[in-house]
Amino acid sequence: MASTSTSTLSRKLILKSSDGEKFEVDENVAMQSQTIKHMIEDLDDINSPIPVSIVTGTILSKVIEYCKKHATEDSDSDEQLKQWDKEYANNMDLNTLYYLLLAANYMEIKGLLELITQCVADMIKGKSPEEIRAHFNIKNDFTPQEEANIRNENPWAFEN
Amino acid sequence: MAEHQESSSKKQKLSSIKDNNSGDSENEDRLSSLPDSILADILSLLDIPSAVATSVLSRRWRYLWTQVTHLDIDYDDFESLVSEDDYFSKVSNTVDHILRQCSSPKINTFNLRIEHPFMDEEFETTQRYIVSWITLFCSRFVNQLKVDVFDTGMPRFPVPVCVYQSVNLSKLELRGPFACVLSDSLAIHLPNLKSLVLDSVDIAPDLIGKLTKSCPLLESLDLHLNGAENAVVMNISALNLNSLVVFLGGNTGNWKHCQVVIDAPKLERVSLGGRLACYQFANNRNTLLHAKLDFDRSTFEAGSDYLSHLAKLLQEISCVGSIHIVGALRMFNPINYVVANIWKTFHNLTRICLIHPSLHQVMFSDAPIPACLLAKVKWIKLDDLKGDENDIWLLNYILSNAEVLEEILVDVPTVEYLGGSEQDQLWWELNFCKELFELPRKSSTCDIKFSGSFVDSSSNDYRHGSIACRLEWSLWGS
Repeated sequence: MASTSTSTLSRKLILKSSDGEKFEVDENVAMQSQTIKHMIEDLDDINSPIPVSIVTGTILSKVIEYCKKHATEDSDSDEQLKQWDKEYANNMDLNTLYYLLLAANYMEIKGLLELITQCVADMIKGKSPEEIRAHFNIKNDFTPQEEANIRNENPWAFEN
Repeated sequence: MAEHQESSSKKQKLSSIKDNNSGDSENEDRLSSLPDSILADILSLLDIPSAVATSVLSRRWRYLWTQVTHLDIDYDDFESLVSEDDYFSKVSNTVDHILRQCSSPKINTFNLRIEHPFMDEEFETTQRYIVSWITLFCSRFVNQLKVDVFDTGMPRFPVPVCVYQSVNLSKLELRGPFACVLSDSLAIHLPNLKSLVLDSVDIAPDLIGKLTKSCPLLESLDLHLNGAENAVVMNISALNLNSLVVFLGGNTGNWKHCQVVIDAPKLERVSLGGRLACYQFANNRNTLLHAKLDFDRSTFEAGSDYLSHLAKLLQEISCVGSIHIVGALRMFNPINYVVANIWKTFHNLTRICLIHPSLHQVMFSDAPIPACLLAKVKWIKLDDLKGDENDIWLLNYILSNAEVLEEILVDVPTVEYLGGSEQDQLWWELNFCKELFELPRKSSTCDIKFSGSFVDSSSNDYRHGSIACRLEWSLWGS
C-alpha cells in the first residue's frame, strides 16, 4: 500500500496500524485526520512511524483509500466525488462499516464519519423495529409486556 | 474473519467498547456496541418517529434516541392523529412530549414545519408552544434554527428575544406569522450567524439595518417582506455578505419610495424581486457575478415610476457575468430608452437565463434581446417556454444573432393547447425538436439541448433528420 506518488514537495508520513502494518502516505492525505494532525504537531521526529493504535491494517488501508481520494483537489467534481463515496460505502460489509465508524471517530475524519453514519442511518430508515433487529442482529431483551409498554409511550412512532 | 477477532481483542484495551461475543463475528450485534455518541449521531439522521421507534429494539436502545441533536419536526409526520378531533392541539401536545424528552445539552438543529392551517382558537396555544420550544433550544446552544409556520394572515407573534442573542446560532430561518420586535435598549448578539432567512416576517426596515450590522459573519441573507411604510430607508450592511435575496411583496405599491441601500463589499450573488424599490449599492466594488431579477409586471407598465429605479439598478449590477430574468423580456426593451442603452455596459455578461419568456411581453420589437448582448453571450437557457410559434421565432432570432454561443438549453414542460394527451405531447416534442435543430446557427459549434416532458435531446445527436433522444418512459407508460 506504499504510496506511489513521486512528488518530492509533499512530505511523507508513516502510519502504523494496531497490528503493526506500516503505511507510507503523503502528509496532506494523513492530515485529514485531526487526530494525526495534532499528533504531528507534538512529534519531534517526523520520520518515526505514527501509531494509529486502535485501527487494524485492513481498516487503516480503507481509511487511507478514502483520505487519498479526498486529498486530491480539483481532479473530480463534487458530483463525481459523491458517487465515489457512495460506491465506497456500498462495497463495505456491516463489520467493516462498524470498524470504519470507530476508526473515523477515533481519527477524527469528519467526512468519513459523516459518510458511514449516513450509510448506517439509511439502513435503519423505513424498517420496522423487527426488521432492524434482524438486519443488525440486535437481540430483543424486553419481555413482551415491557415492549408493549414502551410502544404505548409514543404510539404514533409505531404506526407506519 | 481472523483479522476482526484479532483487532477486537486489541481494541478492548483502548476503547470503551465492550465486545461481549468476540467469537462469531458474522452474527454479532456490533451496532449496539458502538459508543453512545456515534449512535446518537446515526439517530440524528432519522426522522423523529423513526428515531423514537428504536426505543423498542432492546434495553441498550431504550433511551438512546433522547440524545439526538438534530430535531426535525413536521406536523405532517403525525398523520395518524389527523382524523381525531382537536388534531392540532393533539399534535402540539405530542410534539411537546417528544421535545421535552430530548436531553442532549447541545442541540445542533431544530427544524419545525407546520404546513397545516390552524383555527383561530388554536392560535394562542400553538404560539405558546412554538415560543417555548424556541426558547428551550436557544438555551441548548442551537446551531441551526428553522421554523416554518403556515401563515393564515393571523396576528403576528413576536420572535422570542433569546433568538437575537444566541451566540452559537449559525443559521436562522423564520417563515410565517412572526414579528421581529426589539426594544432599543436590547443589543443583538449573533456573532456566528452566517445565514438568515426572514420570510413574511414583520420587521421594521431599520431593524434590518441593526440586525445585519450585528452579524459580522453573515454570508447569506434572504428577505421576503410584505409591506413598508412610505419613504423608508433599509440599510443592508454586511461585510461578509456573499448572497442576497430581497423580495418585496404586498399588494400596494408602497415600496416605490423605499430606498434599499446595500453595503456589502463581498457580494457575489443577488436576487431581487416583487416590487421594485430604489436600490443603491454603497461601496460597489463590482464583485457581483450573478443577478436574478424577478419583478412584478407592473414595473414595466407605461408611465411606471419604477423605470428610473430600474435604470439605476441595472447600472449598479452591470458587472455581472450571469443573469436570470423571470418573465420579462421587457426588461431588455422598456419603453424608456435609457434602460435599453444600459445593456451595452454589461461587458462581462456571457450567461443568460430567461424564465418563461414570451414575445407577448414585448410589443413590436424586432430585437427582443439587445444585439450587443447576443454578440457576447456563450450560454443561454430558455426555461419554461410555452412552445408556440413565437418561441420558434425567438429561438431563430437568438441562434441567427449569437456569434459565440456554445450552448442553448430549451425547456418546454407541457404544451397547454394540446389538451393533455400524452401521445400528442410526445409527437409535438419530437417535431419541435426537429424544427429547433434545423434552425440556422450563426455559431456553428453551438449545441442546442431540448428538454420536454418526455423527450431530452441534443442537436449534437441530430443527423440527417433523425433525432436521438432519451424518452421518459415511466411517465409515458402511465
